[in-house]
Amino acid sequence: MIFWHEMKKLWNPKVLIGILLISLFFYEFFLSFYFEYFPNGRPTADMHKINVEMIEDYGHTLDESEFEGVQLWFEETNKEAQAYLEQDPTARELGITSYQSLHEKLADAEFGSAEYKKMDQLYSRIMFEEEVDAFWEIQGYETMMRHYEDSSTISHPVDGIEDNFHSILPYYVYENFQNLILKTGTLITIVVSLVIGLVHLPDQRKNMLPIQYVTRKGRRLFKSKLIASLVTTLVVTTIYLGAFFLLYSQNGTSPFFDSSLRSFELGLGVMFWYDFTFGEYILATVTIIYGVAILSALLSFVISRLVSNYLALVGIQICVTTSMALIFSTFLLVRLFSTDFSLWVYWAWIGVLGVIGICALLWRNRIEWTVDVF
Amino acid sequence: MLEVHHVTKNYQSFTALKEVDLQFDHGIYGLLAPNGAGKTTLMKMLVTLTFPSDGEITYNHENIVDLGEEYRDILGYLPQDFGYYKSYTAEKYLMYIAALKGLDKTKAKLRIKELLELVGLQDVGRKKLKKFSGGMIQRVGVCQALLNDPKVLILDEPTAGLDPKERARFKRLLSTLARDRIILLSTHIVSDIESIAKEIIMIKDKRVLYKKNQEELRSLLEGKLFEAIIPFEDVEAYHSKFSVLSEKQEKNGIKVRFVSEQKGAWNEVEPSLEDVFLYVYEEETDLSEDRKHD
Amino acid sequence: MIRHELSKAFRSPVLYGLVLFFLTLNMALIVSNDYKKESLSFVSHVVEQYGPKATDDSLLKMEEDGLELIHDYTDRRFSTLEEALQHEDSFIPSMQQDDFERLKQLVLYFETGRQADSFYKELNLQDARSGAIDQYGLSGGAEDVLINQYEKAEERKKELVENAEHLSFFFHGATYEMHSFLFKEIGRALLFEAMVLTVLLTAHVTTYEFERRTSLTLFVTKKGRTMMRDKWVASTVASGIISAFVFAFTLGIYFIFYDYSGLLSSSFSNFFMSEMKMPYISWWNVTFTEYLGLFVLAALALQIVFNWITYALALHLRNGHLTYIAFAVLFGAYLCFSSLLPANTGLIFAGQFSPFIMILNPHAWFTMNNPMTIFSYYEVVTLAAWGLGFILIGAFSYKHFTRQSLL
Repeated sequence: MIFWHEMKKLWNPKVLIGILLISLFFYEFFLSFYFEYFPNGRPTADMHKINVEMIEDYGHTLDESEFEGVQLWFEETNKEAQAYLEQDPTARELGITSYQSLHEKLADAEFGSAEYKKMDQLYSRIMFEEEVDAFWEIQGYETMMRHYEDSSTISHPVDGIEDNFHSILPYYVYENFQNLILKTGTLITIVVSLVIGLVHLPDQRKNMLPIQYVTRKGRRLFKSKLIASLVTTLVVTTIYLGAFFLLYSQNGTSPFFDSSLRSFELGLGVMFWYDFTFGEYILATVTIIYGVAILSALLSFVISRLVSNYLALVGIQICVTTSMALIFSTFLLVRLFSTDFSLWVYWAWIGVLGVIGICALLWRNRIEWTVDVF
Repeated sequence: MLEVHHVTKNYQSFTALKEVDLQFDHGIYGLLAPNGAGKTTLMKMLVTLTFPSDGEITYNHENIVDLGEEYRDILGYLPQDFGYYKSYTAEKYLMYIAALKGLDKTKAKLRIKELLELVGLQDVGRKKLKKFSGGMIQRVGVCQALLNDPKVLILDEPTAGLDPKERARFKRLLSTLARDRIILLSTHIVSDIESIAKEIIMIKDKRVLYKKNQEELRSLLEGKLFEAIIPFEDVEAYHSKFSVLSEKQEKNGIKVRFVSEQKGAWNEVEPSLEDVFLYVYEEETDLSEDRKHD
Repeated sequence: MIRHELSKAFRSPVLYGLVLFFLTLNMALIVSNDYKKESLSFVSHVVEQYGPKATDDSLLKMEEDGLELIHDYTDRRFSTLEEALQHEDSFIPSMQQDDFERLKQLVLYFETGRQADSFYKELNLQDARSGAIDQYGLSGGAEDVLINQYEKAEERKKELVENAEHLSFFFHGATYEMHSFLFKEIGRALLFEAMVLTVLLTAHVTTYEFERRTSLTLFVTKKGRTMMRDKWVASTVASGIISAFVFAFTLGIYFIFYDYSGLLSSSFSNFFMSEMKMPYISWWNVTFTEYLGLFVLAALALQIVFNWITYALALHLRNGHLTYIAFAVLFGAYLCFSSLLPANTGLIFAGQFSPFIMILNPHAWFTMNNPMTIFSYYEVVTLAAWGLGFILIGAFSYKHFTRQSLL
């Protein structure tokens, strides 16, 4: 079968090694950070713990009565902090009995005074040297509770979106995923372009066409190459996404998959047209990546047939992949379906990109049947 | 039966071939023409790599473009300077072409073995093509053209890069193949087709000038071709008076071979195909260049 | 002959397409900060009215003008701006929009100017040093290097205060981040674009004959393989021209778009420009224009180094596409390599002296703001060392090439 022959040519070991290296570097420089440092520092890590506990105890939404329960946890933690301060001689001496009073007194004390210095030292010791959990957790609780209380003020009469914004989905989880998927999507686009870009040009440069096009297969080879390219694209995209989600599962964000995007933390920063759960949102981005991978493949496929040297191939591909990356980072992967743009803008772009890919292919396919081969 | 009906080929502003009519039946046809005469264009049209601007080419009375796959299935083609993958072995390369020609795997393997033996490459089938010499590559090219046992075999300068021994062997091979198929080969080496070609086609000024068998072609110069040994200083005068086809240094002067409408005190000689070729394309042959090297 | 090779470089339509694409991107990038434009120009008035530096005199005048503006809207009389601002409720609500904007801007530059002296007095570079040591996990020899360098930085800090460099007015950094915008966002984009053009062009010119199978015929001519030397010169010239064009065009548009009048001769190491805790401090007393000139020179020199690296790669690989990939892999591999150098010896700093690292932090060139490259001659040494290295490698490759059997 000619399909397998064309597959073998696409999966050229030299090209694969190059791509593997490029992917490794790309991972090292652009992706690894978001895996290694998640959740990134304190109190984000503490917030993460609290958020996961909330989901375990109250499910994916937090209504007002449940919020009171969380407030009880917060008081518990406050008591822990107080207990710590009670047994601490410096704190006793300064008359500090709670995290809040530590904060207030530190803010009120005159900068540079002896008292200030003492308090500052105490604060540094608790937070940075001993890293007492209770204190960091209090910070986490405070941020979270503030967001919950603020969420009642979220109203988007313009966008016509109404919700109680009680879902539990922290901003840092969304942000982390957004950074990762943007870079993964970009990497996949680059890899697909590199591989599929080599589908026609080497044959043309080796003068293979006069032999290939007079065989029984003839100009239908174009179609066989297209199928091989699309299969390769799907396989490559699946492998990369598979590897990505394998790594991503280590970030431990699965408890949030069933939480709606209209959460009290996310709602303050970004609003979405669709009432997706985080899991559904992930699926939407995956769909986009598959779509764009196929689009990149189609464009590279056509470009590879049009150009006659590698300078032209790479030059045009740089324009295409840069444009893709820009489209990704503006709205197609980052803040996908957010109210930053009207809903139709997203669908219009998806439509336009689809039409561009298909038209490019159909146009070249039509020419292919009557083109002179030299 | 392969027929070219009144075919014209234009490229943007320039015409490569004009109103060409040809018929091919079984046997070997030699396409003789100097470079740039439209030889390759004609061949590319016969193999559907490019298409006539006007007129049509038919195989068994059907347009070859409409026949499409059916026609290409009985077609073998060896392009000039053909493409191959350096990192493939001869067998792998031929397997790839066989797949393109729609041969199934087991059949293809047998056929490849057979063909490699036929061209004397049976021992290097598993060697990479980058290690092959020019002549060996050319023989692999012949193999790929023959893979599907084509009824129409079109070879563009197939003997380029072959040494005299290989050339002789190739000629024998063609004679055997020609029994039940059409073979069209282009060349500028007259001896390649001398004796084996059923008919010779000559293209000049974008048109078919002759399509005749060798006997008929030679008869064009019958009684007009002479040889004489003349002193060196007379050579210029002969050039201006006659069509001089060749010159050869002899011990008592220069032996010229030339065409003259009138008989004279010269030796009449039997014309060869080469003489006809040289005579037809006289303007393109610059004998003064050759003389310097003699 | 070099002319022939140059024409090979400039005959490729794709190259022009790519340049056009990059210029379009750059213009989009420049325009993306459009919203800052209006309030940005205020500093030009400041320079015009109060002089180029925030001296005590000019600050006094600014304060007077500010108070005058306030007094138009309130009957209360304040003696200092600070006092007035504590009672801002008494005049701000009644202020006209443009007067309010003017006051806001005036206060911004006034306050910053007033803090300048004390800020540099208190600015403790030791903090920056220990922060860097923590951040990069340095110890041993590496720590010593940094201690040494920060001592030099300390001296330079004292010198700049003496010269009153820090008092030069400039766009307010914490508000507008114009330094990052010009030298990091636009600068880095420019550097990468020029690098892409340089690599593509150099590989194209160098492998031209191999890709076109004209190598065997051409290399036996009288010119023969010395043609590769012409290609070297031609690709260097072409890279320089095309990079210079992209830089000139983009920066030209930038300075037409953003008004730098009155600021061109501001000292680079001023306090106003600082965006984060550590203000930008250049190793030498240079004006903004001089800094820009140095930047462009270094940027073009960097392209020449990339050109030579690519030439050496292309001469060995003799395939354009492989050369592009090899360059990308070399870039990535070098970054990995440099991050693996031991953090307890000075070696970790030696690894930073590379064009691949240099291109990543253009906004810190010639300054002491990146602790890993805090060497006054970092840029010069990097360019000279790698330039020289690749001249030698290029020359050696060329020699090797002229004696090699070509098949």
